[in-house]
Amino acid sequence: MVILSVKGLKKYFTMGENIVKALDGIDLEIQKGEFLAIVGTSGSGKSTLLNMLGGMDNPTSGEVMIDGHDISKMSRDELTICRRRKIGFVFQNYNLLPLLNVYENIVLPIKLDGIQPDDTYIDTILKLLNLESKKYAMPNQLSGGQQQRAALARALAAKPTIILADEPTGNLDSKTSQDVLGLMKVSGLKLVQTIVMITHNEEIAQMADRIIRLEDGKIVKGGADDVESR
Amino acid sequence: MWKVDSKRVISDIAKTTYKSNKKRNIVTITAIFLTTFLLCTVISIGLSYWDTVSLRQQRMNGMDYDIELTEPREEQVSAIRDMDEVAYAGLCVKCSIGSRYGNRELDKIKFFWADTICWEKQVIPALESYSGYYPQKENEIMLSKSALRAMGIERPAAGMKLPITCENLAEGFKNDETEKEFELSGWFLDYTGESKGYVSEDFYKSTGVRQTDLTQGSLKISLKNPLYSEADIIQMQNAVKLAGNQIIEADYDTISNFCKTIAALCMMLVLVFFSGYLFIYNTLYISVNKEIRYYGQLKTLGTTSVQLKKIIYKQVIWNSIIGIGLGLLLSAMIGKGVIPLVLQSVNPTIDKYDAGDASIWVFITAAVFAAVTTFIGSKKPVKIAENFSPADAMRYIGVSEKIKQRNTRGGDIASMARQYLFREKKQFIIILLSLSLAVSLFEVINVVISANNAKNILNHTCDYDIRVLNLTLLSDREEQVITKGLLKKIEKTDGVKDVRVLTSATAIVPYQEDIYGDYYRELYNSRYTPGNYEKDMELYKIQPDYYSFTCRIVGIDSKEFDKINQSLDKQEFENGKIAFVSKTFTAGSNGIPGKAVRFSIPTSVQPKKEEQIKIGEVLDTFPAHYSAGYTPDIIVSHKYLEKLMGEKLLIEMIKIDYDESFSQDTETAILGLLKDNPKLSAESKLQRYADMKNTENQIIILGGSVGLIIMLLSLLNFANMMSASIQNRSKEFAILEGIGMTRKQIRYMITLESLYYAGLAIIISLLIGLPASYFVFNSFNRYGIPFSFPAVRNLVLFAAIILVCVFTALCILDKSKNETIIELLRKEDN
Repeated sequence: MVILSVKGLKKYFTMGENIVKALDGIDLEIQKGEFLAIVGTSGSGKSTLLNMLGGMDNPTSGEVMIDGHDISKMSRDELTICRRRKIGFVFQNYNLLPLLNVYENIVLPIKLDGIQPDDTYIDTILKLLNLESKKYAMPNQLSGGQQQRAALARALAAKPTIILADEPTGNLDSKTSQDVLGLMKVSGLKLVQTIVMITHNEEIAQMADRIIRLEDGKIVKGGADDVESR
Repeated sequence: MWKVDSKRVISDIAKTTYKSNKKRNIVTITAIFLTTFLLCTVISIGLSYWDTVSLRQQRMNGMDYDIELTEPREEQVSAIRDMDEVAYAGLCVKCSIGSRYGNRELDKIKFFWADTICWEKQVIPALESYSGYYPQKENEIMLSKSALRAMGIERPAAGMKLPITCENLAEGFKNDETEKEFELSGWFLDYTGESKGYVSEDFYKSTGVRQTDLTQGSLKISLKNPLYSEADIIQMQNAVKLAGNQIIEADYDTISNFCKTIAALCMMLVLVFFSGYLFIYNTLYISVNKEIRYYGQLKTLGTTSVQLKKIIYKQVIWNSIIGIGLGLLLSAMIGKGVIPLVLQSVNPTIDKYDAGDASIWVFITAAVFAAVTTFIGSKKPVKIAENFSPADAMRYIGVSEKIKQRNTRGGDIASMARQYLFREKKQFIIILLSLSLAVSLFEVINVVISANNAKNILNHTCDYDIRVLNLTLLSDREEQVITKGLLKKIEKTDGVKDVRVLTSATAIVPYQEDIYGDYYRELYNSRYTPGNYEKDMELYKIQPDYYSFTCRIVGIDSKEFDKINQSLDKQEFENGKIAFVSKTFTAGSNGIPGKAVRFSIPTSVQPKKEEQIKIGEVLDTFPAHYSAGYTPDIIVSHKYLEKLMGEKLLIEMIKIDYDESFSQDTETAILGLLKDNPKLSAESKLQRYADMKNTENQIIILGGSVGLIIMLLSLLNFANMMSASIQNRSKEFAILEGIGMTRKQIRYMITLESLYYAGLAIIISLLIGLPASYFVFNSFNRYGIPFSFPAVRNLVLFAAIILVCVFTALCILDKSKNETIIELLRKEDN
């Protein structure tokens, strides 16, 4: 069952007199429960694609469907609610809220939905991510790696059907990276979650069910037409 | 080390930074401009306001002088005029009283003679307007507009013949009436509400009244320095050798009142200056705060702290020049153009240049203050920029303080709104203090305006809306002019709330040593002594109906009782068991309360029958109008007096209260009922208010302008703070939206935060503003008006603050509604 799909997705930026084609006609389908890794060089369009999948940026043209719904037809608030309920997003630079402690950052999306968080589940995530002792620490008291794990915990806490992660292991040592990915996989399997992850690390990418490679805003490997890589 | 000439580079960076930050510079310039404008306009309009209020007070006094010497002798007049500390001294003598005009009874119109100094230097400055000239010929007279009104003359003309029955006030000629045909030489308007007139020197001399006659003559003295002490007055008294009953009437509280006024003005100025200072500081703090990351980048590229300081200060100078210049320009336009035009439109007699006559020093002070404030205000943010390490600056997220670990389990919208509020405690305190001070200042200004509002003053000095007086009382032709029919008509008039009826008669009080012994001894020892104590008391014992020893017995209804009573039992009073006495010549109670006084009323049903009533309380005020001899007047219930007097009881006056004070319609209807009766006179608050209209309009415009400007500043301060706060956090809002907070929820959070800000600022402003208002009010309160907080105006401001806070924040947020989350995140990262 296709949970995420894009068709003819283009995103062009104007920089002075030049037009930069960040995404240039992407077609992609992602199945429910699939673990997909996006790789590519810097500037190839990975983050832009992930942002489009999460409805955080508007495409120049093309279509993004989340769970069968065309996001261009949703209002801004409908899209936000959809993101809150269905997507857990791990930003490249963590984007933790500086005024909230780790726990408050993690439970915020749940509370925004008017639901009381499952504290046992939160504690389990914190334990698995080795953040137990930092539950009430403020973001400015955390190292880069700890912030990244806290951002991942926030994405997992609401048990979303889709997790979009922009370099979730970028600031972690190899042992922690393995643990984090292990958690993502276990969570994905247990809750039938779809994981889309950007990484530079080929070794980490190998843990995914499928890898797509982007170059100059185009999928050069692993796209809808690439049956071989599936 | 090589000396590097980096001036040009620094200048170029400053210019580039300045040009690229147009929006932020506009906010800073606006703050400097508004502070300069506020200082300049508030001080200059405030001074004009103060001048106008002082002028009105002078006009309410009817004459402009500092102290007066009663019954002055010629050599005393010369001696005082020669004194170094005396600017000038004018002589004024009350020489006659007008008691009838044609067939119209008059309410004792006092006629004065004033010498040239008194008229020109002390009377004219206290008049709103006058026509004609001071009486020169023996039969010429100049009358106040209220005297002309009492005579039924609405349209006076120079040369009008006025047949007036005059009472001569010369000693030994008491109650001697003569009819004289005067010729009107002019008329004038002051705010005393008194019916009075000025006569020529020849007329004055013809009356035989002397300037040394008791209570008739006085030398009005204007001092070079109006701040005098008791010692100064004693020195003057010794120098002119006071005799007999002479006194120098002076207000020994002048210096303490002056100090109080200065303290109150200083408090207001401190509020004006401090709120201006915090406004600029706040804006610069926010502005430089936004640039911390940029300055961090410059530091990583090798810019030193000194160079950084220069870059910031250069921009501050440019902003100051533009802001201060614009502030002075607009202030000059408002103060010298707009306000005088408005004032002239309400009062064409006002000189255009008088209206906006702001001193150049006000402009200089405002400019210097704004410049100094800007530099002091920019010191702290500059220090922050200087002290940040390049790495810290690059990581700066708008929170310079270390956020401590917090074991809270919030994460809901309301708790986030609270946390954002206290995000940076120091900045929060400064912002809140700045907002609260501006609001406090508005509260104080409102109280000052309210204390000087003519309606408030008149409401306090007059305990009725209109008073109708029976002019036949005390004449040989006493009659019931205020009939039951007239009373009914008045009571039924639309807009009339209450009619208080006061009846009265002359009573004979036999000599009673145990009751009035102390009183009479004190009276005969005072300056108002009627003569020789022993001789007069002997006369009193033999002839108690001699006019000097009679008194008035006044009957009041229950409504009047409620107004004046402090401690008496109403039932006992109504039943004629207890009474008030009223006296003016001595202070204190003279041991009168608790004793029973005997009296008889010659015009009652049983003229010879002696009545007795217990005195419960002594009043310093007298609710009725006419008085008789020196014996204290007795105030009893109307029911009791009616029982004694029967059909012969005459109504002396009625006091009418309107549903709506100062109602023109009600007043017109009542005056319509009285117009054909020359034996009645009416005096109203509305009439006095109408006389003051020109000055009052000026006061309202000037006071209102100051209030409006301060209100505007408070609101702009809020708008500025809220917009900066929202702009600073656009990245956080993007993150929140990214993780699932809808725009609606963000709007709710911002609304909550704005409400917290507004609510806290209002609470703090009340905590500061109320005591400050009370202090300032009491320092300026010359009429003993009870303190009241102008709640409506302040509620309007509070409502406006809440609206501005919420709407500014929401509008700024809405500006980003078309940008995607990624665009917003990128904008902040760049």
